[in-house]
Amino acid sequence: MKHLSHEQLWELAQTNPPAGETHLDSCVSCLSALDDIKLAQSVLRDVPEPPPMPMAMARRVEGKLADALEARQARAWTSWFPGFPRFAFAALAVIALAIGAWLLAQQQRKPDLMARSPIPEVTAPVVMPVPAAPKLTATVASAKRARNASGALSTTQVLREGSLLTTEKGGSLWVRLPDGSRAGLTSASQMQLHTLEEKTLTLDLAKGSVALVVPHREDRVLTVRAGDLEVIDLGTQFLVSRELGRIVVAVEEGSVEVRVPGLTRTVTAGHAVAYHQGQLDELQPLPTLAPVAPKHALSISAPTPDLALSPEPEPQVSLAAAELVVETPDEAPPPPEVDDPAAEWALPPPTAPSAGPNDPPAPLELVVTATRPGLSLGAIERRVDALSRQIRMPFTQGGSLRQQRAKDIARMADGGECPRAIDNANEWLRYARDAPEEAMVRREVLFQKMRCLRRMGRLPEADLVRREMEAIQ
Amino acid sequence: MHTDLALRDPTAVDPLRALALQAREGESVAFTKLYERTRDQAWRVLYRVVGHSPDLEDLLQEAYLQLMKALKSYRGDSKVSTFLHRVCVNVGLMHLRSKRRRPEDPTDEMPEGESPESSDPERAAQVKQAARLVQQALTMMSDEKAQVFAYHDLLGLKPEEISELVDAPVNTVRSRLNRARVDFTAAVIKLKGRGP
Repeated sequence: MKHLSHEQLWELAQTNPPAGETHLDSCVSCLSALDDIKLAQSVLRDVPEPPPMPMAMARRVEGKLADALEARQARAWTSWFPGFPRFAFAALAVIALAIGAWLLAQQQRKPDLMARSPIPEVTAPVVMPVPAAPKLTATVASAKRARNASGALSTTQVLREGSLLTTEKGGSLWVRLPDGSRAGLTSASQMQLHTLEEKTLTLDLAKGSVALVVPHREDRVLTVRAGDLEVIDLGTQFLVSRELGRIVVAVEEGSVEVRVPGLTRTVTAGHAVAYHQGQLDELQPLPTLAPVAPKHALSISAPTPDLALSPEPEPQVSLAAAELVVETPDEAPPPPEVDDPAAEWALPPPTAPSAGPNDPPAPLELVVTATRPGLSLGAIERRVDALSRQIRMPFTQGGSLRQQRAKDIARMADGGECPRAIDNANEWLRYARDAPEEAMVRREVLFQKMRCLRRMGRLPEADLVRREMEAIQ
Repeated sequence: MHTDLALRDPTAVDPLRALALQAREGESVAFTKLYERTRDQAWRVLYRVVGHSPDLEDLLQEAYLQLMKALKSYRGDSKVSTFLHRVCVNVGLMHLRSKRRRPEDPTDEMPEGESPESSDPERAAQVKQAARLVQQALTMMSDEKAQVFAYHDLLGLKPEEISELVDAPVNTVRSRLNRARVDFTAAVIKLKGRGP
């Protein structure tokens, strides 16, 4: 009996179930070899797709290469006389060394002379290795239903680089970063302290929302990454929110640089952008977030779509319809450092100026006590909700089975399982359904496929998918 | 699998050619631009070969330093991405081999929760193990086979493209790939503890 070759079996193993080969029905040896090959192929399939290159790393390497280039140019000093070959220098050096050695040998033959002028001992220069950047730590400023891999987090707990921080539903967490910046994680969020170095701070937002209060410093780069998107601080207060199918960045003060594949945009105070289906769209700006009432303060204000921050206060305030904003200690950010330039964001609201005769009445506000100023993470969540409502999302709660499958594809792509996501996307795209949301969901599936193809370096195919995506209205 | 490398297309104009020629002449601005335009590609290649490693940054730097040297002999008749692919795969494989020779370094482990995208710990462990198995298997192959295997089965290049990278006929590439797959399968079985 002639067995199948390894090459044939490798091809067969890629079709599931292996078809078109009757020999396999009767040959135990080939079947066993096929099993081995399937195992090897499954290992290959599980190899993770590369995530986008961290911007901080790209910059560091660029800096080191610039140094290397400079050093190379400095070494090329003989280039001032191109006609003089370098080997001539080498030959001259060898001759000089030989003469030096001969003179030295002559001197060694005269012990009295040597005694008077001993040859100094030459020690090899000590080459110090370039030290790795020291790792810094962050501190928990306040925590409520928040944990890391070791368990529940508590105030003043020290967090190391790599810590994965998770807040449960209804939880919140404020972390003080080593440079004095503060990061507030809202309910049901997950973030990793990816890099904590003096010159590089990188946070990876896996899901949910994070608010940042960041004093601008030229000597370090603070980056928040959310999937394909990177936000680089340019000195500011901003928030980043990531959910399946959309990422939102809103800037309260200062500006940030938002990078997505193929595009970089600076977003300034009062503006928000959403990254959705491969596009970075400007969202309708919302009123700037202001600090909420201090701890133990009871603030009653006219209801607004998201916060009690409307620049146009309602003239009539109905207490029945009023919104209660009670700042709980765990929601409040840590008290700012005295010299912290970002402390402004956490200052108590300024005292309302006395209303003029023609001014509309200010929202009714009753402050009971004021012990600690704060910024509410709850307010940030409501803000994110308000911003997200501007985006047409392909996935809805309790959608059809087809929608659920599209959602699974997005999850696979998000989790880096690109070959699987592409296979599933191809299968999904084979069919069409006459449903109102079909075009939207199809765009999303195509986007996830394009994203995976790009990550796998299959750029021409990704480009075709992009065109297909753009053709869908 | 397809790739962004159009190595065999003689009509394709290499947009990086002019930059590479300027960089060869010592123009540091051109080299920096070349780096900016190709770093993502280099990162992808290195990541696929060595996986998530704390050495990735050093390896990327090493790849570009080698590219800097290789550019001295660049005449502009082949694609810069060809150079880069070859350099990155070689740097990656050399790293894996040197890592195999030295004792296990516990800090080489992926830090906890390094892939926040993957919220499934079981899946994360599976992915991590797969990456480790592939890296170990690569070190168990000869250089020639490991290169061809990495080009084809990790980076998705076609035999025609690999032929240019390894400077060998396409049929040689195919047979080398086949032998590499035999070795890879045997290595995986051995590493998984199922083989002899």
